[in-house]
Amino acid sequence: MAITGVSQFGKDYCTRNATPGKKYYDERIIRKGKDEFRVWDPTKSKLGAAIYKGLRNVPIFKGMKILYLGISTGTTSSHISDLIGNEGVIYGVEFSPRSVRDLVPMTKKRKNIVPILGDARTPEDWANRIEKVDMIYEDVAQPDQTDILIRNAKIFLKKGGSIMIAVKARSINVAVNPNEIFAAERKKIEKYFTITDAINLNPLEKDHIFFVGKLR
Amino acid sequence: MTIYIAASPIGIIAVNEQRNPISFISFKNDAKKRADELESCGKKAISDSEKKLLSQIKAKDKIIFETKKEGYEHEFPNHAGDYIRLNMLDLARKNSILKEKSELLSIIHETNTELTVRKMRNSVGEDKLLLQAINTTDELAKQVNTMSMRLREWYGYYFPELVELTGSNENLAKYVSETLFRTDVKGIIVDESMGVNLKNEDLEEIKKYAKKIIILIDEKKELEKYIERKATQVAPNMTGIVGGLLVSRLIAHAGTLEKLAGFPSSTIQILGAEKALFRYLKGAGTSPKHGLIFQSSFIQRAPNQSRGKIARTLASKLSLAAKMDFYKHKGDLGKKYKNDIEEILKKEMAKKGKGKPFAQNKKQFNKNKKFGKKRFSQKRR
Repeated sequence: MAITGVSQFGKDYCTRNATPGKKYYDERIIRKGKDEFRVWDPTKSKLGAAIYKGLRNVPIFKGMKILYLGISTGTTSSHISDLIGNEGVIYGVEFSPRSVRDLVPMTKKRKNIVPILGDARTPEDWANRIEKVDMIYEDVAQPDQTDILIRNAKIFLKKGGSIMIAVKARSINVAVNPNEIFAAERKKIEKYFTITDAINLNPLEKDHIFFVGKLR
Repeated sequence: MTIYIAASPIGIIAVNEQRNPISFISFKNDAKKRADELESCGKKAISDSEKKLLSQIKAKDKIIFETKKEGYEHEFPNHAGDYIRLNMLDLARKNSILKEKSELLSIIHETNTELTVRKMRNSVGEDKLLLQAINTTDELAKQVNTMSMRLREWYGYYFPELVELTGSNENLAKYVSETLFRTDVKGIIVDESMGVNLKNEDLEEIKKYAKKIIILIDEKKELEKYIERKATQVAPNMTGIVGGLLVSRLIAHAGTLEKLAGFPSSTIQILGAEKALFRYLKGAGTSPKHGLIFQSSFIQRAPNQSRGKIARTLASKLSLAAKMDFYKHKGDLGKKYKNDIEEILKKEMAKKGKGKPFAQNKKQFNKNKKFGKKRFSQKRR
């Protein structure tokens, strides 16, 4: 089963570059005829890692609106931006000014990424700047990251919307076995969402699990 | 009737309990003006556009905003926010803000970019400058050391006796860059030197290198003066106690002055000794008495048995001063605190030799020895 918009060349998963001739991180570029493809680096992107580890049900389609919590410098979002096209939009929330400094130049070239310097914990600060979305992607590595996702989903997620979350066990509790943390977080998420995929990102990302779900 | 009000990049909307829009005020079609409007909507005072909207609503109605407003209730998220976030495109079309569908995205994009860029401009405080400066001095010191070692080896071929005699890197670099050739100094007789005779061409290269070292040393000194000045502005009370360099190191370790001000004094006491602390928490070794604050002269002057006490006192005063500095407390208490610690230190120094030499808790020590690795439990700092 292929993922819409993601092409596979040999072992590499790629997305068609929406801005040909421009690179955003140190990704490799593959040219096929007139088309230019950017190789999705699984060591730099958790969604990329999940796809390499066998995630096939990726709820990203053309024209989709996405809320991305913890967009950082925009490595993963540059590929999502390729997938959703010009009709879609990514609202990228990032707390660290240093990361946003690297993000803003990219958003000037990719108009479907909207940079927001704000805290994912306090959506009231930036809620009046965005629309409701079809999908929430969260990668924040905070102890209360699941609660942050649920709170944002209640405010911004449309009916039938989906979620993707990269849970980092080490930022929740270093002393507990990661599998126990994954089970506990899964329970919390399942109160509101149906989990369709759970992919352990080992060894690409240590002690990470990637959940894909749908709003109940 | 209850009316809900919320803002968005295209304008402000009021809806009733049934989530039907009552009135809508659109913003001027310009990214900067939209950003201005959104910024003032986020503040507590009622903005001009909000006044306009309120004038269209009957006075009897109960009004609920989405953000905190003086004199009104607020609820987040409220019906108005839900409505506008879901129907922004329709609303913009109805009020003829857009000609094409794709324009909405560019409006949102431009407004958000403007707001983010504005926030970025205020995101770097003066404490971050201190952090960069102090880290630069550390790097310069490292650089000077490696370069000086190379100079010693290189110039040592020509004049080994002088290299042996000169302890400080700075003095050696100065000698090489200014005098260069062998001269009689303090008990060295040039004619007896076992150095190789080098050509002028070879020596010139060594001289150039020494000059570069001098430049780096001067740069470091200037940077340190700058840090002292800057620290007095950023954290006057803390600087009054321990001096700018250590204050900058503490700020650099914490990340920002805000974080440092949030720390309890026990954390400040062992800031920089995390490795020793976690080793202790794991059951091996003893707890550290001081981290970065060991660099302060108070602790270095204190007699061995009262270093822990002085470290605690110093840390508590520093944490008070950090809070004052961050919250811009008026008045200069740094000097007073410095005198307080100085007095305690004097008392402790007078005790020297009289008290117990080094109260070592043998039980704890043995317990640690049992659980911990040997190399951790042997030394006590």
